[in-house]
This record gives sequence, C-alpha cells and structure tokens, in this order.
Amino acid sequence: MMTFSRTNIKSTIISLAVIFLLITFLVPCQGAAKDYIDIDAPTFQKFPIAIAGFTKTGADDDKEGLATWFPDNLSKYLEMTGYFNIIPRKAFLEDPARSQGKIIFSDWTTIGADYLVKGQFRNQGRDLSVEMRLYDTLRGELMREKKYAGKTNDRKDMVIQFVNEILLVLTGERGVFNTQIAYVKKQGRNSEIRTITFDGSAQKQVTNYNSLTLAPRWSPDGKWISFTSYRAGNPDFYIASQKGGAGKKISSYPGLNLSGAWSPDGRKILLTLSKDGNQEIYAMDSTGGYLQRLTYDYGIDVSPVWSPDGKSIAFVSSRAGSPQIYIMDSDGRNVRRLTREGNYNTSPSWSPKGNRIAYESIVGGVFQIFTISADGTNPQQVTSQGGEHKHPSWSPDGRYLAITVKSGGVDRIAVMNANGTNIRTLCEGSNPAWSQFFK
Amino acid sequence: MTSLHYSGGQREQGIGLSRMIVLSLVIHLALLSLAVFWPTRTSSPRFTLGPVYSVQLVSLSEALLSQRQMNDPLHDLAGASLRDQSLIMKKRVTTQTAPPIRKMETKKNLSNPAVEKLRKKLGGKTSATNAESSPAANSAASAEANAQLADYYTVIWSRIKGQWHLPGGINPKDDIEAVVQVRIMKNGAITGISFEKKSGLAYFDNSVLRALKKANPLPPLPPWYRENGLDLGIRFLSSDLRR
Repeated sequence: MMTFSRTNIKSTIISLAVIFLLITFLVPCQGAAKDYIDIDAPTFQKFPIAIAGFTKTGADDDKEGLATWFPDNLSKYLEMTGYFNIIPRKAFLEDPARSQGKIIFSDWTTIGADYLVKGQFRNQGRDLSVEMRLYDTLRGELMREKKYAGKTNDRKDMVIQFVNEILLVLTGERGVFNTQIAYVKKQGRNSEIRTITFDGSAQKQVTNYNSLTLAPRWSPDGKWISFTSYRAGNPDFYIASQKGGAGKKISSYPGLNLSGAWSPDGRKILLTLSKDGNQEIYAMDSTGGYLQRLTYDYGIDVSPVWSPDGKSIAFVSSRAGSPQIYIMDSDGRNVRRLTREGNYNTSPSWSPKGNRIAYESIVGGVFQIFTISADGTNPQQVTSQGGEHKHPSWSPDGRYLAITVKSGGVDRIAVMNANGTNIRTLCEGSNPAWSQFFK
Repeated sequence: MTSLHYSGGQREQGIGLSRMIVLSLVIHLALLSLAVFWPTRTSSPRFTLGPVYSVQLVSLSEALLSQRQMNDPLHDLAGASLRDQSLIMKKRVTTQTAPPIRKMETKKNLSNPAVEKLRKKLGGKTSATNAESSPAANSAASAEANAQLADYYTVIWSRIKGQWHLPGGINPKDDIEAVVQVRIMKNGAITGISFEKKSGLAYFDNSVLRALKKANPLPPLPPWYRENGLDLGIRFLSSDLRR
C-alpha cells in the first residue's frame, strides 16, 4: 500500500513536471507559428532546353558539318529520354555580332529556354576534341562542363556521355543508353532471340536455332540470356551468352520448360515446368542443379518474376478462375492476390525501384499496359491507344517500359516512359526483356 | 508496536508532504498556464491553430460579408458574387491553416461540402451575435486583415504554382516534399529563401527554387500590412500519380 502510493505520487509529480515543461516550451512556439501554404502537384512540363550551334576553333574545315551534327544529335538523344522539350533553332534570338562570344541569357529566357547547351570543337585530321557546357539561363550559371578528346568516330559516344551528364544534373540519374533489350524475332514459322540497343541503333542475333525460340530473360550481370526453345522438339530451357554462340540446354523435363526471371543475385532462375501435371513454378540454381518447387495448385501458375530485393515473387495464376497476378514469398509461402480489377491480368514485371508492378490487362477486348503498387493499391492504366499493348519490361532505372505493340497484325518492340508518354517503336518483334546497365 | 506506530506516523507525514508538493505544483501549473495562455488568446488569435480558429475565421468573415453588403446596398446581384467570394474563403481556410506536419487528407476534408456545412451551421449564430454586440468590430477588423492576407496567399499560391514545372514520371515516388522559408518584402520581392526541409532529390529542390525565382517578384503586400516583410513557409508536394 505504502509503496504503491509513493510511486503513484512520484509518477504524478513527474508527469506534472513534464506537462508543465511541455506547456512552457510549446505554447510560445505555437504563438509564434508562421503561416504555411501548400503547393502540390507541379504542372507536367518537360525541361525546355535550347541547343546552340557548336563553334569551330581549329583551322581545319568542318567537312563533316559537326557544327550542326552535335546539336542535332544532342537534341535527338535528349528527346529520346522524354524529359526535354527542345526549342527549335528557328526561334533563337542570339545574334553573334551582338553577343560577341558572351552569352546574353535574356536571349534564351525570352524564348522560353530554361537551359542552354553550348559547345565548341576542334577537328584536326581524324582527331576531335569537344567542349560542351550546360547553362541554367534563369540564374545565368554554368551547371556542367565537360571536355572530350578522341577520334571523329567517337563523337556519338561523346554526345551520349554529355546527355548522361545533363540527365544526372537535371533528373538525378543517368540515362539508359548503355542498355539492351532482348526480344523474339519471328522468322517464318520459327523465331530467334535478338537484342537491340535503347536508341535502336544496333541489333544482334543471339540464337540461330531454326526453331521456335521464346521468352528471353537476362542474367543480372548482363552476360547471359536464358530462353525456351523447341530446338530438340520439346520446349526446353537454355542459357546462351548474350554475345551469341551455341548456348547450353539446362533443363529438359517432359512437357513445358518455360524460362522465368533470374534472381537479383543471379543464383536462382525461376522456371515454369509441367512435369508434375499442370504448370507450376520452380526455382532452380542457375548452375542447373537443385530444383525447388514453389507452387502447389490445381490452377496454372506461370510468368514468375522476382522483386528487386529478392524476397518476393510475382506470378500469374488461374487459381481464382481468371488469370490474375499474385505475390508470394521467395520460398513459395504467403501467397496473396495482387490484382483485383479486370478479369485477365498477366505478364508481371517488377520495377527495379520496387514500388510498382507493370502488367498487361484486357480492357474492352484489347490488351493494355497497367501498373499497380506492390501492395495492390492504385492500379493505373498506362497505355490507351488502339492496338494490343503487351509484355511490359522495366528499364533498369525504372523510368521506362519496353512493350510489344501489335497493330495491323505486326508485332513491334516499343519503349515508352513509365507513365505511358513518349512511345517510340524500335523494331519488329515481341516479348521484350530489358537488360541491366552494361559497364 | 511503538516502532510500527512511529513509522506509521512518518508515513502519514511523508504522504502529507507529497500531497502538499502535488497541490502546490497543480496551483503553480494552473496559474502559469493561465498566464501563458492568456496573452496568446487575446493578442494573436489568427495564428492559433485548430478547429476554433477555422470556425472563427469562417463565421467572422461571414459577418464581414454582411458588413460589406450593408456598405453597398445597391448591390442587388451580390448574391452571386458573394458566393464566389465565399468560394475563395474555402481556399483560405485550406491554405492558411496548414501547419507543416498536416496531412493532405485534412485539406480534402476542408473542401467544399464540409466548409459549406459549417458555414450554414454558423450563419445564423454569427449574424445574431453581430447584431447584439458592437465590441466585436475590433476583432472583425483583425479578421478582415486576416481575410485579406488570406486573399494575398491565394494570389501568391496560384502565382507560384503556375511556375512550378517538372517532367511527368520523373519522380521515383509519390510523396516527395520540400519546405522552404521565404520572406516577402513590401514590394513583393522574395528574399531570404532557405530550405526548412529538403526533399533529398537535388532536381526537385532545384525545381522549387526555379518556381520561386520565376514567380519573383510577387504582388506587393497588402497596404494595411504594417510589418516590413512577411515570413512565410511554402510546402511543395509532388503527387506524381495525377498525370
């Protein structure tokens, strides 16, 4: 009784003291409170940027027209990112006679350019040195300056490097120019795996199997591509070097051996096998050894992909009647349904940033691309144009999606910003899979 | 036995002393809190936070509106225009009462229907109090000042918002926030921009600074505003999901 009342009094005193302190300190703060206004949702506007003609400093003639080649290509690659509005050269006010080598920033702010790129080059024989600068016209400041030296053949690399610099300064991340997209190219009744660069400039043949070959997936280090091929009659699972070559058969269980995603650490590959009845998901050591079954269901379970942290797997299952996307732990436990809208949701792809999952869904009889939060909230339709939009695959920075667009009976690979804008067709083909960054 | 009695007496004494301490603390507390609360209640009612504030603002401005109506009796069409004004009032409430920690949801709640309801509810009451008590004029004046400041906030809000741009789909998440402190001079010039909270993304902070730079100078402060400059916090929130 005594101890109780004593502690009670003690705690009362302490709490009173705390209340007293709180009141004495907080109330004056509240009295001096300043007004705040909230400004939400910036208007979506691309960065307005002007790219001035490059000036020649050397004695050699500009035979290759580099004075315009550089601005043209900087514009091309900046535009490709979907974040820039290139101010047309016709609008420029700059008068070289008046500015005399200096930059009059009001010439550029007047035409609405928030940013300005200027550059100069020196061309001697096949040697080329280039200086490029990015200015903030509003503040009249130099934001980034780079010098490149090389051969005239290296000029495209110089442009891409400086575009990456601009992106880093203005958006916080470099571009995805050094990435590739693997895809399936139909050739008559057969199909082969090929790769194409983000800018569409270079293509490479990975397989030459003269058979139906499908579902390419990259290893996280970008060295290998796994896929499924009917080369030996059965749909078996193969891995080949992305540089080409024969490839190696990894699994050939009876029935389907469908290629799924590699784990982020590259140690495991998810497969869809039908050896135990219907299609189920298995995790296999990438060396081709140990196989672990993850799903046990009467419905079909396919298209598994890892979360970027490797802890979860998204996949498609027909267990509820219609194909829907589900998430489970990497050991197959704790299955929960992700998509609840639409009655045909397939082809999940998990954003490298981890927060969203892209998929395809039938809307009005046509496939369109959607994204949904990884917790199942906020599904959003990303594409809405005519034609089928399928097979989304995220870029390694999570800012773009590669998709298959089918129109007029022809499948084409396209890339777009993750919000569905800036769609750009790359080539004929389907089932794109976006690589990691190449060093 | 005696020792027990003795210790019992000490116990009583101890409790008595503690009780005294508690009592004295309570009295001190009461007096102090009275002393601390009193001046803030009377001197600066417009900066106190909470529901009391918003109710007061809405009701008093309603009184103000009726005052204006009296000043301008020929204004037969006032009905419609007043409705517009009261619409702006709603914005006032949302922008001005926003402390930095407040959630977005509160703002949504304060939009049309809720405020409308509140206004209707309080409408009769305020006109009654206004009719019977003239000393309210003083506080009405400060409320008018407050309302005018809110008008000013509405103007600069749209001015700055109109200058804030970012390319769509650039933000890695949907709830990026930066808070800046600014001082607006009498002529509307923005000075002393400083970050109270950075977003952690350089390009985002940069876009905020650009918006302020493009919006500068803002319209001059209201002429009745006596201070040299107005300190203001501006919170920039991305909500990238609204494409």
